Amino acid sequence: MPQADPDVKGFERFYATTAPSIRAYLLRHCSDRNAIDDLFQTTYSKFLGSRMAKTPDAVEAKAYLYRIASNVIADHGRSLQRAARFESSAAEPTTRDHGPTHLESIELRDALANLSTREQQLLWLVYAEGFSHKEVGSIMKLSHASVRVLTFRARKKLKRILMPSEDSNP
Amino acid sequence: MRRFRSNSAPLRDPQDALGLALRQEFSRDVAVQRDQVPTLQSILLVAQFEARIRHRSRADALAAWTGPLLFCTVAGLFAFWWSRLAATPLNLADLTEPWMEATGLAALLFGMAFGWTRRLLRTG
Repeated sequence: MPQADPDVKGFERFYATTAPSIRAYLLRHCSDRNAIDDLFQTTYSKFLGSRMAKTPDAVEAKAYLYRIASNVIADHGRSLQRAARFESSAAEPTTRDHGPTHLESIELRDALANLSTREQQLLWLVYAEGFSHKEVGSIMKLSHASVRVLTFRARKKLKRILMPSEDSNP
Repeated sequence: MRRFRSNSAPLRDPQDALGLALRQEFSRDVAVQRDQVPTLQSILLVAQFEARIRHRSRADALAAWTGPLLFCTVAGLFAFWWSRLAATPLNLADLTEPWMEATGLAALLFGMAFGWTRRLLRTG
């Protein structure tokens, strides 16, 4: 059994509500699409191994899950970099291949691809999940003030890419 | 429980076109994934398996000490036997040292505690 004796019924509800958004989050912010299923599993395994698994209905459980997912993405990115350095295969950089599944959003998708991973993560957490800046700060290990500034800058950058003529009005 | 979101002005702004577009874009991503997520059973099964492997690897790491510790325990037992039981009747007191008895006893107790821990980790 996972170490923390999770509340299985509670986890079932928690999984049903969080799994699609966590998978989408991983897909959007991890460059290695082949590893998505593994990262998804790792995220939930770590959650189940944590103390939070006992109280999956808690308000902060979702933020905690996102924190795990963000750490898993970062760890995987570092391991990819190490592997690339080791193999010296610099000729083949990893590219983001999200695939234009929705033609109407290609412009926004392309614009988002021009942002850094951290900026994209911030925007996801704020707009897709509606986390407060304080919660985003705890997920991304940033201060509350930094989240506010970085989100503002990410929005401004995105707006500049999408509407270059309105650059002066963020 | 209702959550209050402070300092999230763009979220409260109904005229925030960029925010609206982002929310729509992200919610489309989430909707696409609804049919793609693995079943709960598979997640729980793998998590259970991983937990067992972690548990087992801890026990194996502990077991790696078994050889040296077993040697230590046998040596301690021998030292204890020599200093306490064998030396006096054989008049070999000159060949015993006080530390032998203490060391032997300590090694013996440590070996027993270690053995129990290992057994618990293996089976627990």
